[in-house]
Amino acid sequence: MLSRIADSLFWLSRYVERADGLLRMLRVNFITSLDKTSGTDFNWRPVLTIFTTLNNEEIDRIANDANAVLQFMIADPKNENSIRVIVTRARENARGMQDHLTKEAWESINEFYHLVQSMDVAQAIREDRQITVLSDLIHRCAHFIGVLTVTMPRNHGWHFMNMGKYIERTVQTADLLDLKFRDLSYDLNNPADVPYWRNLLLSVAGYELYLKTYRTGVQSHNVIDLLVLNMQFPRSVLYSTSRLYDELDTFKPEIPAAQFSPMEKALGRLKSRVEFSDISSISTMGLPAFLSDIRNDTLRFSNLLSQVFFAYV
Amino acid sequence: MIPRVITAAEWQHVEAGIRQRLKALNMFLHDIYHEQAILKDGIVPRDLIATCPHFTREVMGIDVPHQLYVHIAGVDLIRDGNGGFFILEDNLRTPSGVSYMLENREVTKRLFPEMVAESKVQGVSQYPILLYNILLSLTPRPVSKPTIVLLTPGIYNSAYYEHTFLARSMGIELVEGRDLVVDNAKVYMKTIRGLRQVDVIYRRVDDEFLDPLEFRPDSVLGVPGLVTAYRKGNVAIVNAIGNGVADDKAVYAYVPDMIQYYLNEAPILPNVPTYRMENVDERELVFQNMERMVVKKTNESGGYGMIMGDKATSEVLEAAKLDILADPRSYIAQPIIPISTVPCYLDGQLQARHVDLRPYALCGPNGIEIVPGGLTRVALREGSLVVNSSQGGGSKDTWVLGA
Amino acid sequence: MPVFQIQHTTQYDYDYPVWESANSIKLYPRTQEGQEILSQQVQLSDKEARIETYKDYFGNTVGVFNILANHQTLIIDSVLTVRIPTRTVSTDPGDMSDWERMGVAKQEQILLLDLARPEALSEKGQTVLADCFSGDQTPFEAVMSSMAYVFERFQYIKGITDVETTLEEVLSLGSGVCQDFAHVQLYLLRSRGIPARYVSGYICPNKNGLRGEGATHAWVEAWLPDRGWVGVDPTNNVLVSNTHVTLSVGRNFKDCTPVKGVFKGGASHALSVYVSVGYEDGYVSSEHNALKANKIIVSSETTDHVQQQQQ
Repeated sequence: MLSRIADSLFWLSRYVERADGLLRMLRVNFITSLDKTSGTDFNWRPVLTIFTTLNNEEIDRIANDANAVLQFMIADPKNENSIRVIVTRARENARGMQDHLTKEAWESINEFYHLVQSMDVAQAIREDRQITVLSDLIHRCAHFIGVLTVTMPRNHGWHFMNMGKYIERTVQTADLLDLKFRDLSYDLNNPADVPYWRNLLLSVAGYELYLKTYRTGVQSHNVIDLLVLNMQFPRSVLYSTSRLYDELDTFKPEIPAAQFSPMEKALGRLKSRVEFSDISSISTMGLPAFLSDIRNDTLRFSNLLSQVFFAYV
Repeated sequence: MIPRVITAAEWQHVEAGIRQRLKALNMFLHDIYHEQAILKDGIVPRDLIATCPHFTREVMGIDVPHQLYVHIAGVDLIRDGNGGFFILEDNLRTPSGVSYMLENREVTKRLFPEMVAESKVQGVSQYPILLYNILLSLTPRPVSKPTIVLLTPGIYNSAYYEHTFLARSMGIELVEGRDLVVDNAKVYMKTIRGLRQVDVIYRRVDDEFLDPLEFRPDSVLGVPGLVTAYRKGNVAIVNAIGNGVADDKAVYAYVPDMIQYYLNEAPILPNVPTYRMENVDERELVFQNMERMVVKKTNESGGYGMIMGDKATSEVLEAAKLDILADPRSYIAQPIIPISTVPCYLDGQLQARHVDLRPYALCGPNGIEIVPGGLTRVALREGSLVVNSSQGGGSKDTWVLGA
Repeated sequence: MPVFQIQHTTQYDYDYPVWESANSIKLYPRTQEGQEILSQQVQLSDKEARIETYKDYFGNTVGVFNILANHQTLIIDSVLTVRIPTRTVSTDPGDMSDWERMGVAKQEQILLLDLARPEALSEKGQTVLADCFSGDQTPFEAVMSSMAYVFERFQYIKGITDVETTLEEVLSLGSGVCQDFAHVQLYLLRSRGIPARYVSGYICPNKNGLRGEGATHAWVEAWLPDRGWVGVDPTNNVLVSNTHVTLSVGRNFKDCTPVKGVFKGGASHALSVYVSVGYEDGYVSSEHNALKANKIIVSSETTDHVQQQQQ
């Protein structure tokens, strides 16, 4: 397989995963922003800090304006991380290798792109259809991922797509945890109760699993357990890195050991870091340090992956 | 929808004519990039070649496998009022449209299954296999599975669909310039398993964009150093670099002479009479009969840079004369030929439309094969003689009947 | 029979790593008219890169090499010992029938036709040069008078023109360096129908006052019946005898560019060229120039693939 094709498949999948994560996060936060009864002052500062490159001043300008945030994060072509830009990139990757996608997969991403391009977010905001817009976009992501699952052949390309997906998911889950714990000054023994975590859990579609799994204990410990260590939860760091490990393993017979082992080592390091941690070890080292280790390990692995498979020389 | 029908006898004549012509053109290309005997013997004027923008000095003296320059030609033929075939253009660079020929046949087979069988319509579907075998025969390395790729300019090229179609039907990799790299005068393809040496490139990228080190330095479609690998014989390029010197519209006028010169045969298929605007007498003749002439730029294709004397206003014709006088080498003129029409089913009724015929010829070390059929291009506008798809032309299937 | 020892070092420094660079060098002296390479070594900063050579359309030896891996420096170092014959240059003017014989010869070689075709020039540009020739000159006299014309009309000033400067710009500036002088004379000769070629090489005058000492140089060769290629140096107003080492010839500078290349990566870069000439008497002249590096073209917008996609 051509490196360029592998690279495009990887990034197509990664961008859609990114869009999906961002959209879910935006929807939950938007709903929270409407709830004036909770007593806490919601603002978008943490979201804007983690998911955009805006500076303090720019953040202050829109941090209390949900509609401005949505406009910026969904539709602003100047925002490198807007849904519009991400989906456009995803589709550009798809377009250069249409031949390697099923017709259904291409149509799905292409329709997604045209929807995003033609969407009048400002108008939707004026008509108070924000949630509809977000839900429509989330459905588009789900549609694409579903179409891939039922139509794409399980060859190298499939494994590259999955690696893109799980790398992105690992980083996103770490980011989301960061976002929520930042408000609590990363105090793992804080008394925040289920309602505080509800938004986060909803945005990762983990609320129900959470309620079923965790009945006692410190809520914030449970949240970390779900998002980092729970193997049943498809967005947990451990689940994602384990899947990543399986995907990488399919290439073991394909490439020289000298190239494979550094990747395997980097990923093994990430996986065992997560596997052998628990709440007490995480609180000892501090959550921010733990999360940043996860991000760095993932980035290092991703760079190696790209050097070996996509960088050609 | 209605296929155009050519009898077995007519086809044999066309086939023999194209075969003869391509044989001579291949010899011409080898000659022009080596000894230039045809210039020394005064058959083709030296100045005509020296001023041809597609005469590629960078490939002077390069030896290509089996001395084959033209591997794929899309030869355009027209029929006049008396049914005689004429060669209109040779198209020796990167002729396109073959995917339409193959797909049109799929459509007519579905629409008229019995007729196809009963009339013993000759098949065209072997084209990708024939082409693949020629590509295979050009490999410079004696390996059992040489790497053959189709080099496309990418998704923004209007023929991109055809590139994917052909790559898929031959089972070869579709690559862009950025997928290839040259090292130590060998070409490699970047794969997830590292660099893999490439042996044969069927390129659909024009010469001037092929290698930024030799040709246009701003090209991002090509592969830097590719010409060096080609020169060293480490990679075969299809069609060869520099073929444009042989399908220049002014050089075209000399193809019958080339046939005589290289093969010592009379041309089987005639040219359309062609007036070189550099020749003062011929130019005068054309200027006095502009309304019966079609004026063409020598280095344009696709129906661009063409003026039909019978349709153009007198202002346009006068302006054309000034353009010609300013740069006579860049123009030729041909008498407007009342080319043949075939019935077409348009807007619910049968209507006559002008057509040409583009058969696809494949030249390999074992000879020249012309797939029986080709693309019949149709000028969809009533009365129009311009069939190029870029000028509002359509196409239809061509049935060559069995003997 | 003077012998020169020449070192010619070209160095590119990039501020970020670049990769997949492809380069073409014309640093090999032509073996023509007794010019003899006693030794030459061309070394690259990348020890693994191999130089492939071939002869181009003009008979120049061209070296081509690729460097695929990331690099931030590229050094091309040519060390050369070359012997130049002492040419006795005839100043016999020939006669008017030379024009006709030249015309016949041109029709017999595409190369001569190519070299006799002047580049397009605006009417304004043409008028600047209109008074160069008179009608009663033989071809040789036309060559000599055009050389003197350029030498006298144009000022030799370094640094106001570069490799991208067009003929039109040189004419309006009225000044330039050897390359510009050569381009002007080439235009004059070709407009008169005389085949003429650009020559790139070194000038080795050993303190005798010629312009261009210790650096790469450019001059002109005109084709004349019976004599063949005759070298003239419009920068110095001399016939080329035993102080010029020829590297390559062509229609213009572009055909003779000593080093050119393309690479991938978004880096900007600095170019420096060092040339030294050693003479048999032990004297060494040298020049080190930091140049505007526009011979290498960035052929890719990408810097770091990972970065590009993530951001």
